[in-house]
Amino acid sequence: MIWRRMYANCSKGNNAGRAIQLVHRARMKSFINTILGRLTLSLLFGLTLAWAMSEIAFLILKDSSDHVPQRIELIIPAGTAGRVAAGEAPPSIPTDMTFVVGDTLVVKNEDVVSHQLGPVWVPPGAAASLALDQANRYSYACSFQPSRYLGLDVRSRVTTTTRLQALILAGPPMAALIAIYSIVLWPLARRAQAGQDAILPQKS
Amino acid sequence: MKSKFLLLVTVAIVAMVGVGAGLFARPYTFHGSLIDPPVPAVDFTLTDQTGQPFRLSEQAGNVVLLFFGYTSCPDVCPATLTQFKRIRTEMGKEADRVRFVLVTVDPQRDTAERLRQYLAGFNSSFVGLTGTWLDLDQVYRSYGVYQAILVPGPAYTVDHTDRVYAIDPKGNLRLTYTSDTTADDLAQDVRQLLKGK
Repeated sequence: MIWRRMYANCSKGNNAGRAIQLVHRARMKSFINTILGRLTLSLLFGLTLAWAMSEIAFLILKDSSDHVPQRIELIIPAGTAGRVAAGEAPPSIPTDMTFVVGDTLVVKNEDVVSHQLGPVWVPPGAAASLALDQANRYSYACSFQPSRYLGLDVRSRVTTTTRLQALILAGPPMAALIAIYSIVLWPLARRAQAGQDAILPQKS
Repeated sequence: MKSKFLLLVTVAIVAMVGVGAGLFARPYTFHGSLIDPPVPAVDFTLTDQTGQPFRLSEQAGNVVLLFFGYTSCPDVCPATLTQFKRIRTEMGKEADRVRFVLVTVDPQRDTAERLRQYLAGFNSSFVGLTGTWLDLDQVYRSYGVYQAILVPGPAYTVDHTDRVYAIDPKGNLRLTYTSDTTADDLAQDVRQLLKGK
């Protein structure tokens, strides 16, 4: 507001005042362009750095169980219930099973009695499937494990969405930090001054 | 001329949205454990809370949600019946085609009268079934139900399977659910079964 009043006072039929007004406009334009350029560069650097850091973190912390969602089939062989009743070894199914969100667990029961494998109950001679759509650790009853319990670990998968979320969360703060840091290292005032020197008419 | 152009643009957008929806639409994924291919639900006849015989095969055309529990149950049975009540409320008129059935795992105490009183506390349309030990044992075996008296005594509790079975309108055993399935997920699946999916 103060600047505007000054311009207004100066410009009342005064050519010199008009010249100063033009100079200040040019300085402001130059200043805004400098800020916008700095912010764009900071954003680019920030996003690139955040992306690189998150990719490195994903690589370092990558879970060996991470995979593209798939159908995992388990077969309960004929005679399993009889073998368990007789105290013989049950079919070799790992006590703890790890899946990722999106996997489908399919259990085929070739036995003559129904079986339960965690959350999946299968009538005799049938198959049942369960879409694992939520990350969690489950402990369920199992009809043929010696412990009678089965642990299911459903983990979140690193997807493009996960990567994008990481970039959106880390990119802007990183860009803001870079912008602030760049102002400390290369203050805008010098450039603005340089711009002013270039525009102002030289005294003879 | 302008209106024709606008009409063409609108038609093009609607067509694109339609094609896009068709291309990216995913088939419905059931929340429960899906028995695929479905198997015919083993038929049985037991006595309901009014003393009348209840035959499973006579429920064709409706979805049957089958649960095994008992009226003195302190935890999972009232929780499941509360879920049933929520499903019924959530589904509104559609719930008229759903039979909510509780088969007792404690025939010693669960008489027809006791089942009637107990279920009236949830919804009087819920069906409670009891029978002779022989008949019930046959049903337990068919549906892989485990039941055992935990601590014998006058106020004993019964350890039992807490699975919910969904039988489709064609009488096929289609889905089973663990007790932690939400009413919302169950209601969505039941709607799909009613649609014939």
